[in-house]
Amino acid sequence: MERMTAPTATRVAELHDLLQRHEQTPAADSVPVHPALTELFPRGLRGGAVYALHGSMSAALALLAGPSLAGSWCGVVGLPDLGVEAAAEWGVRLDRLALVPQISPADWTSVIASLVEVTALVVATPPEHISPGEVSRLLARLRTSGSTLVVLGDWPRAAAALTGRIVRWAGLHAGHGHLSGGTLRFEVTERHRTRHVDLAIPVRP
Amino acid sequence: MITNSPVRVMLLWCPGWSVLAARLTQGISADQAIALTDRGFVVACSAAAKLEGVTVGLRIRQAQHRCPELIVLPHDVVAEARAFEPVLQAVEEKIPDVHVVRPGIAAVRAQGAGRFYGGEHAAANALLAHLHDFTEHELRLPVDLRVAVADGLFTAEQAAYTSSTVTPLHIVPAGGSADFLAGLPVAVACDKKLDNLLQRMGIRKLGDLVQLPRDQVHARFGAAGLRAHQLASGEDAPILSPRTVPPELGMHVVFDPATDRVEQIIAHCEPAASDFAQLLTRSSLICTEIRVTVQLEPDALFERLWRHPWQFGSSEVLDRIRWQLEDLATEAATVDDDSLGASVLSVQVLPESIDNAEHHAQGLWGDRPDEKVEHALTTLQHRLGHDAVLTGTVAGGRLLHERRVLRPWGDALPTVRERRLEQPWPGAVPGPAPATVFSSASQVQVLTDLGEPVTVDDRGTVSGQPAWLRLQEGHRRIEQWAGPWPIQQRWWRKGRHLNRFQLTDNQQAAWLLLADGDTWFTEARYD
Repeated sequence: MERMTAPTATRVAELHDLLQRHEQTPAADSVPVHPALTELFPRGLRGGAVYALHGSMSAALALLAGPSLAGSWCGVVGLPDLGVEAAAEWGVRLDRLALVPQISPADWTSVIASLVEVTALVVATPPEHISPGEVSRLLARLRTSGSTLVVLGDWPRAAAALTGRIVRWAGLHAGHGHLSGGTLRFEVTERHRTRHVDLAIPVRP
Repeated sequence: MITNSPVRVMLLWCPGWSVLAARLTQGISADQAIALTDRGFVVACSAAAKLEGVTVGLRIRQAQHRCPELIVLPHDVVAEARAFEPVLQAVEEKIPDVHVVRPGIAAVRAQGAGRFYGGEHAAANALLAHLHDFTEHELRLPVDLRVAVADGLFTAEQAAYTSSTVTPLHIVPAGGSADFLAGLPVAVACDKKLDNLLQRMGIRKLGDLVQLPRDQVHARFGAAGLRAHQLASGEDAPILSPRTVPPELGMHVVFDPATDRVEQIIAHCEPAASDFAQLLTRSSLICTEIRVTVQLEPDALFERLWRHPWQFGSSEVLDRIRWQLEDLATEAATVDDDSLGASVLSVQVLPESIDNAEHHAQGLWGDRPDEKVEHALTTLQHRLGHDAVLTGTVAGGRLLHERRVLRPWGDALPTVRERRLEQPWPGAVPGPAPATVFSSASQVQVLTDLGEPVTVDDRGTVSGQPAWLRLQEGHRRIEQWAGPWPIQQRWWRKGRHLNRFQLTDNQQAAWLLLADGDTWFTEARYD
């Protein structure tokens, strides 16, 4: 009995190790994230999933920067006010960014569906109403293309709820100075557990 | 390439073509004194100017001194060549495959023409008669025309120069080049430096040069000397390269009767567009800019330039026509979706910038996006409209919406020089860029602690401490602020005098506001 347990224990430890290593390396169908966010998403964003992001626009830009830095195309839908300069500061490659600023609710699903075919990540404002049928059709398209959709608002059955908010600004005083930097708190709520990371703005590569 | 047996050449020379062309294009009468100048020197002048003492090589000021009523024009080689084009076409009516030596001088092969007209003499006379007829009736200008027939271009040109108005035809018999050239000065076959040297050595005529052994001339005077010796012995290039007329690119679709249905117009344009694309491909050209002209029934033109970063295919051309017609329809604001305000008589597409396809061959790591991405975005644009799918870049500027440049997908983005990003732009916002830049500024109110609106006067004095920010969605307490930062923009055009403020509120949002007197606008938000 004694002789049996020792190899079993080592074997279990080995398997455990293997499992952990497997979990840490990015999976094949995942979307890469910005180096500052690897702590939050060790395996990257899940391909074929929809994330719901609330709060800060900088958080959306941080998410866009990941696949863009890796050389993929990204799409932004329904955001006419996107700060292109800030996106470039985060590391988003503007020559690989397609913008669809105005979109009618009737076209929403089809536009997203055709964008996810060619881009790794699409950031979009959701329509006011979306039928469950359209949701499942969109999910099927996402799964086949392996790209990720980040919705700025609520989404039924999102893979994780993300929140970005600025917790601190520096450099500005009463009547003088100018903003020189800040701190962005990025929170991820997945399976009722919340983890967060603080990012410095502007990001330093 | 120079050989012993040059081709038999018939050469047409119009003496003083530069002046004639200038008179033709500028509409100056024959008795006026004209001088064409290049970099301060006279390069050609009319007979009237010559009588007054103006010569080639004179400074403009000296020429004007000798002839005060002299008309001085810059020497425009392109216009000269363009004016020569009808003469070339007239020559081609008689003898095909014209070789243009330079504007004013054209050459054709004499052999075929001689056979056809029964002798070189007859052919040359036929050509002269035809051209005299043409210049009198078409150009309405007495043009002095000389024709020479000889072995090789060089001899023919020299022969033409020795002809006169009385005997405008000079034929040098085959194999007689060396004898004819022997009496000419060496300057005609070499440049100034070599001419000077040969003159000082006592070699004054081409006949003297031919007497010398060729290999020694080559050894002493180099390639220029060798070439002069060859030309002097009557050796010249064995071929003439006929000019190539570029194919006529572009498409023109006429509607008879005129129509106002977009779909119908597009359907009519489709075959022409595919022909246009095929013609481009066949000529191995690519087109990156087209001008679409829509002619409307009550005599109106609607013209627009369209650019494409890579190249126009037939479907891209059709898309541009459709978008232009749709713009026309929105301008006319008709109730019917598919019809335009006016009937379309014709649609014309002309290529504006054309380049060789080989210059645009994709490298191993082409900067052109993936074909799949290109196709998907173009399809999306086709469905949603030209300016629905955009790409962006950052440009220089003081106001943030000027720094964001968005262009429709497929349109060329401004170049690095046009963006002027590296210029200093005093008054630009320091620090990190805001993540939200409002495309349309909304009005807000900034109040002091007492609830009075904060104003900024012309000298940049703020009336009170900003304490409250009143947005559409509610009040926010201002925690920190800085400003006013004046934006001195185009003050010479009496533009608005704006002051920029940066502030953070109690909800940890930071704002950029623009103050114009007592009106405040949101420019951007840091979030």
